[in-house]
Amino acid sequence: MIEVRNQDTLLEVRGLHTYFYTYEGVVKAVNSVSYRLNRGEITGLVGESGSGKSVTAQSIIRLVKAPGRIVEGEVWLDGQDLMSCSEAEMQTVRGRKISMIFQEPRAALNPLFTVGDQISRVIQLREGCSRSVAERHAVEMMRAVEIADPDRRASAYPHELSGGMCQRVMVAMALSANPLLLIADEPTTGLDVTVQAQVLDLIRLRVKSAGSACLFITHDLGVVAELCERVIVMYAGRVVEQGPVAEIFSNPRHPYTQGLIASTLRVDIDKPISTIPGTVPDAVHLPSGCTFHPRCPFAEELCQQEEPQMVEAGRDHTTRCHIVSGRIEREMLEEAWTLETA
Amino acid sequence: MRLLQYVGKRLLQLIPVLLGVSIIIFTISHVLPGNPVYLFVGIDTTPEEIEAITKRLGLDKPLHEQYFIWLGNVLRGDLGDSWFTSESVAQDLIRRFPATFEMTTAALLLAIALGVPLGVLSAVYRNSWIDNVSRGITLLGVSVPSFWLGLLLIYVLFFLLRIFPPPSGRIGLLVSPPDRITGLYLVDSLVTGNWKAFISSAQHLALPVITQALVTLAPITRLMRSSMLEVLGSEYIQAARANGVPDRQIYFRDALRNALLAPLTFVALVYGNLLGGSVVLERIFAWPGIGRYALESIVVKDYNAVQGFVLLAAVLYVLVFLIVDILYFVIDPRITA
Repeated sequence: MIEVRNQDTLLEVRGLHTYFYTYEGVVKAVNSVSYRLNRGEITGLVGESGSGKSVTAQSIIRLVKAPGRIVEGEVWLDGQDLMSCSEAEMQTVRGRKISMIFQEPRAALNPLFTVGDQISRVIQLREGCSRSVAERHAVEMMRAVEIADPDRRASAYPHELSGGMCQRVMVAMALSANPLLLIADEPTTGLDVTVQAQVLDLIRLRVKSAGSACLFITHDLGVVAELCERVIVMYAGRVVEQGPVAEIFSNPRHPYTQGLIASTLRVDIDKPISTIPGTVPDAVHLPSGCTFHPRCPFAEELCQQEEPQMVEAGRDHTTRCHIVSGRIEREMLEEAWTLETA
Repeated sequence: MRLLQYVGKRLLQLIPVLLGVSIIIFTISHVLPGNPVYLFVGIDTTPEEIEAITKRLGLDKPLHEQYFIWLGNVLRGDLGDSWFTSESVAQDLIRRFPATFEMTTAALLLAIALGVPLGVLSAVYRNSWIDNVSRGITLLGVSVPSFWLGLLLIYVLFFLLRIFPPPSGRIGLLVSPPDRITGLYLVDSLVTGNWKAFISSAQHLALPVITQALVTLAPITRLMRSSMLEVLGSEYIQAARANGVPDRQIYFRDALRNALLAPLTFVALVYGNLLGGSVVLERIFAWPGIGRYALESIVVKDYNAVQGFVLLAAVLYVLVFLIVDILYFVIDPRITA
């Protein structure tokens, strides 16, 4: 396979496998995942809970919790292979080249230290500057993420701030590094809508102005449509479809993506909301063939027997489906999804 | 400022607690079967004489009146006289308490000094050799009774190896105790520069302290380990790692302070318990502390002494918890006054 390395590619993940070795068996949380992130672009990573989105992110910064382990794969960041770095080198990548924003801002802040302390500490670690310089910088960062009265707020403890405020603090901490790559793991879950929009604006603004890349993990397709240039859809540890947002939303090729889009409430089209039947499969005993076949309205015998390969489905748009690849001749009707609704 | 306010509030709260404690202690000792008057009389005492003694002791008055008289005495530091030692109970307790305090405090400090790092290391290097060694030590510590461990240590370290002196109390038989300032031999001998007494009392402290420390160490280590593991698995530690914070800082700055919160309550519980005197160890090591005093008083039905001891133990417990609450307040900003 000829690699086309785009000048704009910042992060390239190739054949990433992260498995969890549990008593019940091996969970292939991330199974042969490959994708690229471009500079100045926000890429949405979507999928249901348990599809391997967060583990993908943890794998990039090599912070997979036991019993998980990165089994194989390459992660290239700006020409550097992160998988072959030493742990000490990784520590200089984390919080400098790659920053991360977490899902639960309050849980991601240490309850026993003031937020100003926590931001300035990260700055001090990175810059090697004096404490007072770091503290000033921390207050500036807090002002940059529109925290009112940052001087006073800096001496507040996480429990004294609202969830939205805590998330701003996390964003300030992550952005203070001017990272090449920003990973945001469901950063707006649990925030109310106006705060959500503000946090998203902050992320967009910083990514665009700094020319960095952002991996935005979410299960909210609405946010993806609004924020992202590209989207990667994961199902049961595999990437099932990826491509530009406009393309994927107007012409989803994988039945799972179609189902996800059909199950999103849209204000512009008058149609009933459908659901994808069934649930995410048991991670230890994945279905044979295409892992989506038990829930797929178009599945045929081949889908149970053979795993589909990634195929071109359009311009810069790939998917993993026997129907798209032409192995199965069948039409995918959009009505299939609406029929499922009771 | 915030701290002072909190301490003040907690001290005020102590008043009803201690009043409650005093009522319970008084009630229990007065509803116990048996008439204390008979302790003072012979076989041929006439009913008139018994009545006179009852009157003299104030036992004919209503119970609540008796309580207030007793409480007034207690507040003046009068816990009554022990009829066994024929001295004031307060004096007896004051004389013996430093022995218990010195031994248990040293044992607890030793247990913390070893148990906390051991627990942290076994969490950080989970399932490594150090975790296994610590698991072995703690398993022994929880399963071996203290009297057996004490006797074993006496047998090996005194009788066989002669490393430590015999269990003959707080200081060598031929060494005179240091002049009393605090009653703590180590402190008093240091302050007065009495090296001979210092060395002898340190040697005599060693075995009971090691015994007590080993027993106390076990649960502290296990608690510290599990608490540390829980903290290390938390989001904010993951977030700190994602921000490139090096491991050493993660363990000792971010995690340790959080992980100390849970074992702190346990340490308070143990300390409160130990300060009431360890009856078994004080007996084995001929340690003249309040635990042994209480035991001897119970055996001879010395009610005043037992009552005084229980009151002291209760007050100590309450004080230890006051101190721990203040510590929590200092460490954890989430606790509000």
